[in-house]
Amino acid sequence: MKLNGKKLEGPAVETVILPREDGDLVFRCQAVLDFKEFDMIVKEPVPPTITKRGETVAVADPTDRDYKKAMEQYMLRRFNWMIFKSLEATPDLVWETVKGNDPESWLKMEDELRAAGLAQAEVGRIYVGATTANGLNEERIKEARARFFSSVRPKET
Amino acid sequence: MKLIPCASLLAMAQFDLKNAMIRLVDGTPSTPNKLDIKVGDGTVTFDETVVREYVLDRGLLSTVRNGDQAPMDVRLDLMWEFLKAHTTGATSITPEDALKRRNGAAAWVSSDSDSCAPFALDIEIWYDPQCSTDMIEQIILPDFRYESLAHDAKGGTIQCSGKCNATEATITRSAQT
Repeated sequence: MKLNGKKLEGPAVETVILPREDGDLVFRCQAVLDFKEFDMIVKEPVPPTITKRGETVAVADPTDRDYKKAMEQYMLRRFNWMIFKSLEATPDLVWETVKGNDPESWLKMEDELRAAGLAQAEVGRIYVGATTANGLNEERIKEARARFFSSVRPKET
Repeated sequence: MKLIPCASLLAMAQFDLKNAMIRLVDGTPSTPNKLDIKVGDGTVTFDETVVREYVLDRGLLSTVRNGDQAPMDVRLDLMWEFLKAHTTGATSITPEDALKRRNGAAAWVSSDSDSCAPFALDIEIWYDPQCSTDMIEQIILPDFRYESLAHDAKGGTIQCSGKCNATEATITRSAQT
C-alpha cells in the first residue's frame, strides 16, 4: 500500500531510550495489529441474563456487579497484553516472571520493570511509548494533526 | 461394654430469604456457571446430623464416640422474583435445568470430583442484611443432589429437597463492598 507515493512499511514503532551511564536502555514498542492471540487466551465476559417471574424471555443485564468486575479485569489484562506484545519488538528483551500465555503474569509487568531498577517515571515512558505506537496517545495525534494543517497553505482567491 | 447408636439432630437453620439470594453453582474451575435465584419469599432449611455412640461401662455412661457420617438434608421452598444466569451460550436457564443438567445447563460440570457419581452442584445462600454496617453471610451447601422437585415457572415457585454429600455447611461472613 502506498500513501502520497510513499510505501507504508509495516506497523508503527516507537523507541524509548532511558539514559544509563553504563549504556542506554533502548526499548522498542511496535503497534499490535490485532488481538486474535489475546482472544485465544482470554475470553471476553458476557453479561448474565435475567428472567423475571411470569416472563419467558431472558434479557442481558450489563449492570450486574460481577459482570462489571469481570469486564474491568478483562480490559486491564487486554491493556497489559498490548503493552507486553508491543515490547516484543525490543531485541533481546527477556522477561523473568511475565509469560505470553499467562494472563495473571501480564499484570506483574510493571513490578518486573520496577524490580529491574527502572524508576516509576521511566516505566511510565515505556507505557506511553507502547500506547503511542498503538495510536492511543491523543496528544501525539493532536500534534500530528496541527503539524499537517499548519503545512497546508490556504488557497488564494 | 455396650455400644448404643444414637442419631442426634445437631443443627437446623431457617431463613427469611427476602434479603437473600440462592445461587446454584456448577463445578467448572475458576469461572463456574451460576444461576442466581432472587427470592421473593420462602425458606431454606438444612439439617446437619451427627451420629454419636454412647459407650457404657458396666451400665454407666462412660465415653462418647462419633458414629457413621450422615449426609446433610436440604429443603428449598420459595417463590423467586427473577433468575439470573451467569453462563455462556444460553439465554434462559431455570432451576430445574440446572438441577437436572439439561437444556441451557447441559454443559454444566458436576461439583463432585467423582465423575461417575450422579450430577451434583453447590448451593450458595448469600444473605445481605440490607445494612452497610452488617456483614454479608455466605452459606455453602456443597455437592447437592435433589431427590424431589416441584417447579412452577409461571408462578415462580420451587419446592425441592435433597441431600448434600457433606456433613455440614460452610458459613463465612464478609464485610460489604
